[in-house]
Amino acid sequence: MSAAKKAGALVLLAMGAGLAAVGQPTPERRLKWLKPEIDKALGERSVQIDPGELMDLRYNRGLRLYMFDVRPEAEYNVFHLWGADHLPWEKITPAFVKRFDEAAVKVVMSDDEAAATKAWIRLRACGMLNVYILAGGVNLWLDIYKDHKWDAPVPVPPVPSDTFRHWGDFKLALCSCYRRYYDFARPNPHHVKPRKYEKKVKIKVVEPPKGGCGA
Amino acid sequence: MSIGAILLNLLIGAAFGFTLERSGFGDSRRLAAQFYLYEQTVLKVMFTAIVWCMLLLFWSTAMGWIQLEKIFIDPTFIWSAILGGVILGAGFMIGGYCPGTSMVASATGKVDGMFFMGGIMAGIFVFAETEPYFQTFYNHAGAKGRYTLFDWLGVDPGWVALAVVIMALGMFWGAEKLEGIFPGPYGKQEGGAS
Repeated sequence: MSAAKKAGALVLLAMGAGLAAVGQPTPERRLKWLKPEIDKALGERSVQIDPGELMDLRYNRGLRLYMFDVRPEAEYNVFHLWGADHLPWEKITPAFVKRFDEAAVKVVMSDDEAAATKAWIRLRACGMLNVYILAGGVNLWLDIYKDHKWDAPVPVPPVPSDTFRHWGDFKLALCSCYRRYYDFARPNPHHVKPRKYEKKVKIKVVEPPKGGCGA
Repeated sequence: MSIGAILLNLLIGAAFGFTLERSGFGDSRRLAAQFYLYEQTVLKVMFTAIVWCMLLLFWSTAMGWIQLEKIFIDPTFIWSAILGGVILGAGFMIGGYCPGTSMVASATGKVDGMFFMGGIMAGIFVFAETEPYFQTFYNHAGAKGRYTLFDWLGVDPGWVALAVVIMALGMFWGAEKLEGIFPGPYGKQEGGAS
């Protein structure tokens, strides 16, 4: 074996061993690199989507939509959007993120926006793409679709307290005999007044399967 | 797609074709020799490219220069890929080319490469016309989505990269031994490019 081949083999081995030693970045390390991109997106509010846009996404059969509710479990149990999954903070890991198709649209929500924003940052650091925040949170959703304040504006800057303002409306729901289906958890698009909003969700086209040997 | 992106694609494609041609991949005898074990240039060149690409990609993600999730990775369809690999391998052995190398051969004026490309076009036509009959298998057989070796093994990509490097070096060593054992129709080889 020539000296050049031996040197090449050694370089490959050294690079492979180095890579194994260094490892891939943790979400915390990635967060430092992603900070400018994240700050820009949050500052420009390019990832906070209007409840009206989420409403339209829910009835768009051409895409896959995942909704993550990061509120405390008690609040989630009292009311959540139809189809939203409860997502506790400790479950947001790279392994969890890998379960979702990158082309699917994901929306994270909390009472207002604070917890959802924190979760969104963590999801991005774990590698999730195409993920958005429900602007105004569940509180604004209920203002619009329960209280029929169709033109309720998205509070900017968002309400910092991030508390469930509509607790009182659900007091009876705490008793199982009053448990019922809330139509405002899954509003009928034909029965609500459409909202005007700026479209922010970038719908990705799913690539068809391809073949090839690479050469 | 912007003009810049089109030009970049053309440039990368031309560089890829040039590299293939310079590696001797425009010669069907050399490519077919891979299967008769007396010349392992294909294995050495392709595996070297794969290993370098893998190392540079994962070093770039480790350094934070590239976000891996933003790179498109072909979704995995295990059974469709195995069947497709068998068909493509058989075609490769019979014709002496794969799609890219047949284009390289055609570009250098080789008639067998042009015939092979005609076969590819006919194959594409037949595939497109008959695809509805095996659509379910094609689109769902062993569908795993974005699925990589490190997802399967549940380890850091760095360890998988190291294992692939060791495997590649072992195969390069074994390939040169095979070239010595199987002299081929033109006598004993001195070892191909690597």
